[in-house]
Amino acid sequence: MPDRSEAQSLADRIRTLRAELSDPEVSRILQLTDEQQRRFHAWAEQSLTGLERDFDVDTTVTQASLSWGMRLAATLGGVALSAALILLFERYWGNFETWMQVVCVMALPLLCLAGAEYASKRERTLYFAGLLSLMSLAAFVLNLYIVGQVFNVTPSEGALLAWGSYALALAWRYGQRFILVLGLLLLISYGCAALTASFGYYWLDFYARPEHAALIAALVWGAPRYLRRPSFAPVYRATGAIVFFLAITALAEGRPVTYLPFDLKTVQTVYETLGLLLAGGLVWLGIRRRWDIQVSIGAIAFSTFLLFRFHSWWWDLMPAWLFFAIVGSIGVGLLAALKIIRRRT
Amino acid sequence: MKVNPLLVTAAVVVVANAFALTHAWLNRTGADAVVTLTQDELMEWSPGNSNSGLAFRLQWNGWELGPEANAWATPRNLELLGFDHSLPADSVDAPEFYRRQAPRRAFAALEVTHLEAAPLRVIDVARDPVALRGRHPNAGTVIILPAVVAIEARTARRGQVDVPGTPARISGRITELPTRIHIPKPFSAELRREKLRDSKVKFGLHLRYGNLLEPWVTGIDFPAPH
Repeated sequence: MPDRSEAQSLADRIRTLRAELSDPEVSRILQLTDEQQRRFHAWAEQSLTGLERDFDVDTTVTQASLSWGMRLAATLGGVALSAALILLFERYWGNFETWMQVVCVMALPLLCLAGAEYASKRERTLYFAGLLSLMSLAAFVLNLYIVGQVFNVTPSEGALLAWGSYALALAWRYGQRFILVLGLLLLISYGCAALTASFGYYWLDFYARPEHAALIAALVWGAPRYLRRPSFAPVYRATGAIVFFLAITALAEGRPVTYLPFDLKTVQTVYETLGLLLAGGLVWLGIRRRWDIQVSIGAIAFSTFLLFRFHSWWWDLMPAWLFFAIVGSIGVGLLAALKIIRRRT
Repeated sequence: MKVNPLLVTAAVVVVANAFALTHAWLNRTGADAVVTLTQDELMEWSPGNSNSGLAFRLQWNGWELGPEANAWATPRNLELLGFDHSLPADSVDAPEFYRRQAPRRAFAALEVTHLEAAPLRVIDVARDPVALRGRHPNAGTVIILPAVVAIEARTARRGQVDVPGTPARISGRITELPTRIHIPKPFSAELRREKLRDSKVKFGLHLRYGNLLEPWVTGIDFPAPH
């Protein structure tokens, strides 16, 4: 049984096929008998009706446009209502006894979760379930934050693990990609913080060692091999790739603490070269596997590393206008090269 | 056996809360220090009118940079904290060498001095809180807190008229200290009531620091005006 995004993809393919077969030029080349045409249209209609009934998928272009608007509205609404929930609690929590504060903040995420579950049973599009699950996540963040404040608990990385796990559980339960991204970012942060703390350093300094983030992001990127939900695979890969290249950029261009036993200049050159090679490799892999988002991320990372490399080679040797003229010319050359590759693939 | 995903999701909330509450309970099953702090050692933490909670921050001598303020940062102590201080402070490579050593987790002993200039002073730092308490056994005037310590190379400063110069030196600095103390009801209500009468009201806040070195308020009193 496919999930909703797979059902939407199937509906899109049927819709495109039906539109193409109705095109006069295609009809001239692919001549179907009246009987074949009747059977095809009956099958397409039946399939789309079935998908619409079971998954509430978009079966027209107008519906698809409206769905994007609804998804955006649900996310923005969820963020705004979460902020309202947190601010409302902060406004009045000082008037409650400690036990009431704890009970309130513990109940809030569970109540929102119950609301999301109820909404998911009532609507197959899951917009309201998504909105309520985002509120539930925000309420859980508030929950642990307030319990920590009330009992003066010394902050630790454990909260990131709890928040990330809850976000992932919500995302998988209600098929929410935005919450999945938040969950993955929280878990990557937790992994970095736990590694940092395990070496005796302060957990909140986890951003100071981008190598940890690069390693965990690479694991997230490879995780879809072991997942049973193909529609989530692009989210895992995109989040992993973006965090990975941000970490490599920090290593190549910043002054980070690193495990490499070399001087700063050598460390930067190593990571800049690595970034270039891996970004190029990602573009190649993305084209081969038809991972469009990976191609875009790889191309952006490749251009960024190339620009940084050119900057470190030439910026001091030539006037600024000549530097940008050369970079622009290289961009035009790359465009031409990619055009040739595009024609051949 | 098929696990209900809804129950798994709800279980994350329940388990995380159970963990946090057990942590708080474990902390309160004993006391590492019992101190009374006054308005001079505490600064009100005000997040704005939109937050009805009341909290204070400990006032400690973190802003002082002189050698006497960081007397605990001896070469031996820095070594015990896990830092490498082998490069002389006046070496060209010293700033980068010490910058690349990430801050470390440790424990700091703060003495309640009741002095106006620096009411709480860091007097010692160690990796082991039990050993630190052994060195400073007075639980009525010394509190032990988890801390984050960084090593740094301080450059030499030229002397000026009336101000002697200081040579380059390796020092330690506390970069993080959990100083926030939440004031629950009914103590927060009492304090607010007294503050309405006199905005500069003097008070003594009774605190216990538990097994896990986290504080809680056990009482508040207001000295009778002269």
